[in-house]
Amino acid sequence: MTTVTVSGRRGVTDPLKLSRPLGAALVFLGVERSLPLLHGAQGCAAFAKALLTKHFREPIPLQTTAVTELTAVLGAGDHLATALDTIRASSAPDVVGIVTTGVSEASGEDVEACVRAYLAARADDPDLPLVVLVHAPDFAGGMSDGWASALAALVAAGLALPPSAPSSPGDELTYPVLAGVSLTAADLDWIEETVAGFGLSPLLVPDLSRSLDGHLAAAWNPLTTGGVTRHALAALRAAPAAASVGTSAAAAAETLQRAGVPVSRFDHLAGLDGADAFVESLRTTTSAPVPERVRRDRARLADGLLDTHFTLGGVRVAVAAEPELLVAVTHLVNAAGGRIVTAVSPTDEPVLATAACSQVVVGDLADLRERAAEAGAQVVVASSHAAATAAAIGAAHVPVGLPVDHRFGAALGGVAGYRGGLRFLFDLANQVLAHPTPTRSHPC
Amino acid sequence: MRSTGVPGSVFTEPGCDHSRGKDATTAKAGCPAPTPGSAAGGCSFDGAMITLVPIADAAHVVHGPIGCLGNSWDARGSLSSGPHLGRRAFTSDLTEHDVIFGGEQKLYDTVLEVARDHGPAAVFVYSTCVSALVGDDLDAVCAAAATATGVPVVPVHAPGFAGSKNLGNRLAGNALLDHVIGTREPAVRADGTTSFDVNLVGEYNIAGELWNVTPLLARLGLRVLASISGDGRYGDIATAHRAHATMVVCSRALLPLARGLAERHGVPWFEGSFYGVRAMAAALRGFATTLADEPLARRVEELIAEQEALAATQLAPLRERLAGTRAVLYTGGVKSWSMISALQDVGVEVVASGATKSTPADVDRMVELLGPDALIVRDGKPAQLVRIARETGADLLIAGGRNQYTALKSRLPFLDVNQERHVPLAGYSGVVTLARELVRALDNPVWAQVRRPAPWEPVAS
Repeated sequence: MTTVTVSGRRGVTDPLKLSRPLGAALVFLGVERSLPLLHGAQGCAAFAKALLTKHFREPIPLQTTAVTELTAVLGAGDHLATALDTIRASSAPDVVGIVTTGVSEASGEDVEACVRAYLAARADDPDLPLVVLVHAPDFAGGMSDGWASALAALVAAGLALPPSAPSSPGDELTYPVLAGVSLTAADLDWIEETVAGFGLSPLLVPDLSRSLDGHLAAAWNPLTTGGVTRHALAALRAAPAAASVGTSAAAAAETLQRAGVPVSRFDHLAGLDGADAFVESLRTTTSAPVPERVRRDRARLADGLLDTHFTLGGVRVAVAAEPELLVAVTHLVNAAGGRIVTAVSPTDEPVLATAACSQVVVGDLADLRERAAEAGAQVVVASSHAAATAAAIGAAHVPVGLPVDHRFGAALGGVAGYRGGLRFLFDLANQVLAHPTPTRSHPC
Repeated sequence: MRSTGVPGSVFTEPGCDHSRGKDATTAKAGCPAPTPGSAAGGCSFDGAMITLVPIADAAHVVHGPIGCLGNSWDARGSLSSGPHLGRRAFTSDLTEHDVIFGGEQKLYDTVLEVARDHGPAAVFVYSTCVSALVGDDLDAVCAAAATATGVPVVPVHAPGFAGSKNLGNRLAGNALLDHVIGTREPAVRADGTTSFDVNLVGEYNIAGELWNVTPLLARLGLRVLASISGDGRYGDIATAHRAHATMVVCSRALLPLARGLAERHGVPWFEGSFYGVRAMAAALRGFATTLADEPLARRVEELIAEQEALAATQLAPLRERLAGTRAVLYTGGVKSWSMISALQDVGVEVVASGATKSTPADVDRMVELLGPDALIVRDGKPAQLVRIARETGADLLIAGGRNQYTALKSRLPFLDVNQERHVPLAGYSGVVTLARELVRALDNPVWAQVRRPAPWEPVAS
């Protein structure tokens, strides 16, 4: 059992935590022809947009209601309505995700009523987008919480849509996979191919593998250029079964389950164990044989574990990441014989108790720096924000999470499934090889 | 709710064109308000951080929830030649509890922790929308923390919802005027004189570009007393009142700071830019004129002649390659005209220039440089930029990082000239770098490849 402790400082130094609105907005970036709208001061959207742009190296559709000092106090409902009118006129999105922020939550405004009134006044408009409201106060929780709330709200909105045409006999059965915040485009590709390999029709919600995977479309577009469609969301409630991957998809899984769709839940898909559990579940659900492609992926990971274990056995690793990613990384490192000497999570979550290490600290990158130095960590596994930390303690750096803006290919990295696990172990082992252990003594 | 501490006077700033509008309505409107649903760019808090975070030996503490700092830190290209404390990120990380019961104690504790653990020359404390709404008394906490630590603790009242990034720059300038400048005396120079001490205001040392200029100033015998705030030090900025000239570098928003230095401390100022050959000459002459020193003026002319000859030699082959190149420029405020001048110096024709954040005076200067037929783009939405680039047959887009992927997705070469770039563009060597970067962007073989459709796709009409 892992103990979870809290940083000893009052303030935060070099934050690991990202904001809740950022996580919520990211969900809508995995919906086709969609636009997240941050209900806050314009900086809330500008900062989130800049960070996501640098991470994905993609244009990020994200708008703001531009709340001002005056409207924060007197009510910013008009700003919300104006913003909706403006974005509908300029880009006609299929889906708009309204995400509140610290300022709109602290002002105590009834945003629900504003949205209801806006929609009611236009009930006859056939071009009305699907509007999904998410509460995301910056001052409660972080990115994973924002993702969790937004995904649950998106699923609820999908369930409320009029059902799409029933599938005809012979059609493949829709199998929704509710995706957590830690899954990259490459992770989602693996999940999709694996599900399809069992004769199911995968429906990823949300689907960043079609929007922010880094692809050159025919032309620039003001909205998301791919992702789960509004039409496909309407098929959610007819699905005979579904899965969720990541604890940030758990709330959405509950929503779907309550609508009568049984959901198999996975905290992560790390290593042979994590990926096997997912594949076994698909095999049981479909009674189909495990496809050759999946067997091959598994055999490659098993071989990679053998190849890297000489290098990774006993390696001291420090990790700082969102809860579900942190847990996945600890299991992968452990699986190859490495040792997690420091683990830091930006927020507390029950899943941290399942991490493959003795202790997780809820804290910041100053906690990571102090503890990783103390423990003689050889590798730091964390976002680009930890590059300076790794350099300061003389450790190698394997970038994971968000933002990863000092390396290319973040969207095609990831740690999930047989393929993600193999990619990660190779990255980790290559970094250890490229970065000789500092000549200082460590307690073992 | 208490006052957020943004003084009403910033909206009637006489040095600002928006206040000094051509008619009464424009004048009253003050800074342009952001439009819900089509706003781009940062908030006042962002602007305040941009202006002050380059003060490298100070700690910068953000009193707000995580979004304000957690999403924004570690993103700017302002470099320091010494301490790096300014790049570290500190926040009180307001939680629900703090929003309900107030966050003053937590802020106080945070400032004391930071002072204890990092030994800063000073601590700047930034209010945010949430802390302003909650009504935390930033001034009182800062005063108490300063007493407890013995370190200057400076309140910066620029919550995001106050307005635009430009307003935040200005509010940060006010904080320096009110709390920092005039609190220390400069070290006496070896020769005992101070008459060649100068200030730079609005130069942020992006990618170290200030260091393309400071050696030239040193050769002229000028000492940069306070750099506000590229590669800045708290103690130096505190002595800015003893300078004999201030150059405002490409920053309309920090004009009030220069005016304040003039009115309160009698330091004369002039405006200029370090981008481009012509601008450099004007800037160096500006120092000579403002300091009214004849020998200095002669040294300036010698230096200009020498540097222009050097730059001309280096630029010749690059100008040859760039001849006939057409660019759409989209960058903020003052930088729009200063960058036009630099681009013209390297032989690039600017066919359109953005003016979203520019004042009427900025636009006048743009038109002066570009000629009356110039296309001035008021609506800087990405779609608009792409369309204009198409229509004008532009070879590339020159803008800030935010528009980089707009250009790339449209298969249009791009050059980043804003604060996140990694190449120094100021000074005579900077203009050569600018030309090299332009050639590098235009001549890359990727453009031909990505514009070619896949063999199985119909050729676009």
